[in-house]
Amino acid sequence: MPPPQTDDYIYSLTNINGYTKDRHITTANKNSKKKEWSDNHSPSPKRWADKLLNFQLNSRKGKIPAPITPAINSSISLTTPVISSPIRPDQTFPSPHTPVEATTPTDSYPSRVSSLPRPISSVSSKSNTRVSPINSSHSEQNLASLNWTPREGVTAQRSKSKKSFLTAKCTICDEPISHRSHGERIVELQCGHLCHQDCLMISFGDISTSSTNIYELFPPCIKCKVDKSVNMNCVPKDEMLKDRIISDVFLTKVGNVSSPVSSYGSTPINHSASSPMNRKTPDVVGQTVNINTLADIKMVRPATQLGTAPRSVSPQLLNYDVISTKANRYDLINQDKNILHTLPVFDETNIAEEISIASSSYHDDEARHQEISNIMLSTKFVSLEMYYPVETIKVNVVSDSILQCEIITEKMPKLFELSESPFTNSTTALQKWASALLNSNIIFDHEAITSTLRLPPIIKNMGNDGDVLTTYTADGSSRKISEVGTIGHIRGSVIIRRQPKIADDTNIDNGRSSIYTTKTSVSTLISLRRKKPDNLILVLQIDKQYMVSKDAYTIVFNNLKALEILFPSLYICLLDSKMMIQQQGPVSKVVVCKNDLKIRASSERFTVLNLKRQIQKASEISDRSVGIAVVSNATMSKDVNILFSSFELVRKFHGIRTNVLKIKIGYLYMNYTEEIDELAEIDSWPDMLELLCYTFAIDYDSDDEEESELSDFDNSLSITPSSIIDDITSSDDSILTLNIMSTSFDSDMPANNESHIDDSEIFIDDM
Amino acid sequence: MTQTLAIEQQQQQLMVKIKYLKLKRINDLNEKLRSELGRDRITASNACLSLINYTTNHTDYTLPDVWGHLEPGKNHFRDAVRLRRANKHPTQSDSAGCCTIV
Amino acid sequence: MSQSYEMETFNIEPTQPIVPQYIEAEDPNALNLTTLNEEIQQKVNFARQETKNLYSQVDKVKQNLQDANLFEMANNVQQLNTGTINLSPTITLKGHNNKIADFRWSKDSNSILSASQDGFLLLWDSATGLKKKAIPLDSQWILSCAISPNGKVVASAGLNNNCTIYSISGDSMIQQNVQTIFKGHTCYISDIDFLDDSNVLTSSGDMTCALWNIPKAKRVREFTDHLGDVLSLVISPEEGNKNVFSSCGSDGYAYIWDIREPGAIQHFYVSECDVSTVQFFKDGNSVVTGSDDGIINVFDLRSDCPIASYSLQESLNAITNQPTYTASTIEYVRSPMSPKSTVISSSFLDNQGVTSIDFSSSGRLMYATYTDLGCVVWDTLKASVVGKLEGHRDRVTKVRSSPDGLGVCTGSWDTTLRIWSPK
Repeated sequence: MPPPQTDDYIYSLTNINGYTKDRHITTANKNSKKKEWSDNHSPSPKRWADKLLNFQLNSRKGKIPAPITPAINSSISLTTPVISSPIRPDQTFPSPHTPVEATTPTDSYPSRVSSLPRPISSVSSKSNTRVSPINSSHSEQNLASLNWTPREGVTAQRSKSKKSFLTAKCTICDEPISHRSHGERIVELQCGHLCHQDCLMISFGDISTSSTNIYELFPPCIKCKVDKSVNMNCVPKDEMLKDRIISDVFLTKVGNVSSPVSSYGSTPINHSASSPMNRKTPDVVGQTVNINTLADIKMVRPATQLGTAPRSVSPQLLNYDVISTKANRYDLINQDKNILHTLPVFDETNIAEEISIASSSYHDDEARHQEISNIMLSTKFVSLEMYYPVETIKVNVVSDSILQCEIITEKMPKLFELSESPFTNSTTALQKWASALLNSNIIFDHEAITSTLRLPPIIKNMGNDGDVLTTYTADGSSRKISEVGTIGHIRGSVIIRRQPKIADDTNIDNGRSSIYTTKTSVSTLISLRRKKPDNLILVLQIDKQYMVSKDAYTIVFNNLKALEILFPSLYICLLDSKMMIQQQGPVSKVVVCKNDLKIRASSERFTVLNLKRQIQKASEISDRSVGIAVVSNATMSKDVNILFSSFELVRKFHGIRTNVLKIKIGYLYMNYTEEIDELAEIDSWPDMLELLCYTFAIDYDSDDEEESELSDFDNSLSITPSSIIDDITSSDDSILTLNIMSTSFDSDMPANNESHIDDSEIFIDDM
Repeated sequence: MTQTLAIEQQQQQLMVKIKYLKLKRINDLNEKLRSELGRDRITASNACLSLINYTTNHTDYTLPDVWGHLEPGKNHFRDAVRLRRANKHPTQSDSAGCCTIV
Repeated sequence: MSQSYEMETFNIEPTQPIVPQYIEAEDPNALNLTTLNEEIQQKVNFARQETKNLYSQVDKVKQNLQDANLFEMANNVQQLNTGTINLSPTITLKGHNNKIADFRWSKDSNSILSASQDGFLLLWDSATGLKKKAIPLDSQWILSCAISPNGKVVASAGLNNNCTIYSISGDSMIQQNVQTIFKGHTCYISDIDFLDDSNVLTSSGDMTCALWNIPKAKRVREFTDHLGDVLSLVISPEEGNKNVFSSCGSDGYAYIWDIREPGAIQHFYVSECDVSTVQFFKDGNSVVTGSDDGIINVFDLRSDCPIASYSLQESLNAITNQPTYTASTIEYVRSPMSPKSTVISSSFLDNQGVTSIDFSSSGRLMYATYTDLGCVVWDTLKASVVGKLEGHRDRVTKVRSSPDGLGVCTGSWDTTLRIWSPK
């Protein structure tokens, strides 16, 4: 009994006239079987079949009609199709290591012409070793006339006729072949081993040094060396692929020969697939500039002068803006001071310079056309040639690290000097800057500048739940999730929520501990939403240092009064920046005018226990649920910020259910989710009331039971200046295309500091 | 001497490159796993129910117990055959005889 | 109508950066190669750990969702009475003079396109059995054929690695009007189908699937996740998502693809052996795979897990007692001489690979062809064999239901196709 061959359907399909696969062959009477098959397979020719045959014969050079294949003709059988791709001996580049079977004279695939009379496929390379014995078992005639012994080793690599590389390993990097990057090919080698395409590509030798034989450039096959101690090179089995790889090598490796480190052509661009720039830049650069770089890193020349445009930027503001920049791309454009974050930021001294660049040249056209700014960043240029000089622009190399661009307009010449950080040899970003500057047609508006910062791996626009619209991002490697959203009816303010990503051991109990749940029920803004509590306790920490706007106290005061309308017994605990209690008690008593919010002599340090006692004293029996809102604008220091306090103690007492919400006024640039739970970040004080309303389901509109209060509320609201600090809100109220990038998203990259360099650069679109 | 050094250097560089490739692949894989983890899913029981629902809500004349028989004249496969049978009644040539193969 | 699926951002021949710039541009004399090396190694280790965690998490999530199988859930469904399947042969399509490699129904169910290794494509009237068109092929080594939804174009592909598109809109009965030849696969093409009138999907032994555009006459997408020969593909039925298709291969995996996404959107590990055929369930929410170990598996896309499995072995007794419907006579025929019903050894059943699968219009019946067993009819909900479609004198290669649900066609090595329909 032959072994089961159910898998060999290719064989069976090509086996035109033989029924060699029948497993009952061996047991049945051979002769009668054969007769029967021929009966089955050669139905008496019908008229239609004749017609077809005639057509077929007439349309081709007349050959002997042979509807039934005669016994195998060895000369023809060699032209049978090879099931895998045909391997031809290479004429132009004879490989010294071409394995024996590669020389099998597999002509082109059989066309109809060559297949009349038809061969049977048992000689096709894949199945011959296995099939022949079966053939011989029932037709010795065939074997005799075959006069061709199956070649050993052709299929020795695999026992199956169809290949499966599920468990194979790459011969170059020794990783499982199934580990591969997106869209990466697996290359079958002539020696039968496999490797990743990328592995093969980077392992190529230097073209310039090697001899004329291209095959010597192919890296040696390690598996062959180890297993069989044969020296083989990793030459792809497939001709087409081989040719393509060779041309790819020539295309990408040429830089090593022509320039000391890397010329433009050889610089691979990260994120090439996703960047639209990838296709456009080379044209421009190729046309206008050719920048050579030196390997040596030169010292950074200090900034000579700053343009007029730069605004004074305090460190605090900088920190403040990191998240806002990343939170909203449109904001980024509207606020020139934010642009610096799209530049690689390396150290403190560079920041100011970059700001000046951003504001002078990139913020808007005006700036660009009104001033001359000499801005020095580090660079390493040797020479710069312009093949197609643009009339209005001159680009010179000032020193080996500085590129000077002079833009000549009707008014006056403008000079830019550009360079890049010493931490990277990449010139891609700089070249784009340069070529963009050289191109006078470019307007540096928000369309021209995009960020190549990697998108967070998980980004999702959450659905529109009523009036909430959020964008959700997460980065798995740092296990952090950030979410930016607005509550629709508010004037475009943004709320940021962060969550630590699911830890492996959380939420196992209900078995839904996937990101899915984190996304939809834990981390979204929607999850902030709670039932309206019977009473509200407000723990308010005000750092007067940050109450920059003169109206800030008014706003807070108005907000408190507005809340008091709905929560008559609204309880407040007022703290200063050192967590000392300023005031404590019902708002109605404690805060009478807005000056009550301002700092006085502090009495005692805040503790949650203390708060609990106070609340117990103050709360009424009727309260069944209490909302606790902890609001702070103080610096995020564990010792002095109230947000770091744990409110576990007041979570549950006397059968009263409490809900805690923590609000940070001002966006953070770090993810504190490990220390602080239930934290929401908002921009400024005016948003606090909105968020509270949202969270605790406070609805002023539907509260129609007391008309007077409603009008009171309206009055009190009207006092509030609507938008004082408009840092984050864009001009467009409905913005919600938010691109978030928190600082924690970079951990994929090789080195923390340097990662910024590689990852962030300015792209100028539409060049 | 310098040549061997250079070769060594090259090898080392290659090692780094390959390592980097590995890293990239693993990161890609993690990406993939993450998106897989984040995918919306329903329980198998619900999937089964919807499949069962499909089988009970779609007409199927191969199951006469459930759906009864097709009205005569509604099946274009049958009608053509009937017509043909009627036309050339005496020779029923296209039925191929019972399996008598040994 | 020429929809373009080409993606701007996705190159079918990826030439992505191989090494990040900072390595490429590394100062050759830099001393930090070793530190860099270590650094990367560390990251690799971290990433590996993360992979492990992710895997276990994904497993956990999937495990938790797999709370039932189809047969448990279908417990309350009425059993089908044996012998009541209303399917009987109508006509036999005779005209090829070699094995039938593949055939397809036209969208209106009025025609069948068949491909045979005699080197012809024939277009049949499925009701009368008359031939409408004959297309001589360039290569007789054909494995698959397809007909476009509008019925104007047909495609063939096979061992010559090419997919050829023929126009059949002319008047002449016999014509070879080649419209395009798609070259690019480096190994045989195992299966093809039309995504729409101008886009063709192919699956190939070079481990890829590809999307070809007829007007552009080139490959527009490539799908490369398979690690073995891709043996079959199927496009989601109209009730499902039109952009989704599934492929299976000798790597033991079935992949679900979205034409618009560069990578597979889902994958199912089916078995250790070749998965030779894949089919969508009627509603497009599940895929059904047939593998060489003779097991049919159902995977649900929404729950991301297997929900049913059909093995001949388990319904062994049932099949010997089932009446068989033969083409020659309407009455039941026990064929004691046939090895199939008498000397069924378990190893024989074990070695029956599934070669094709399709469903009746409600999906309650599943037709499956096995290498040497012919076409078996399963009750999808009960995992029991309820009948067989018998009449071919040789191996049955394919079974396909007509789009209108009234007909079933089987193709065989005995050079004929048979159509079955309810009375």
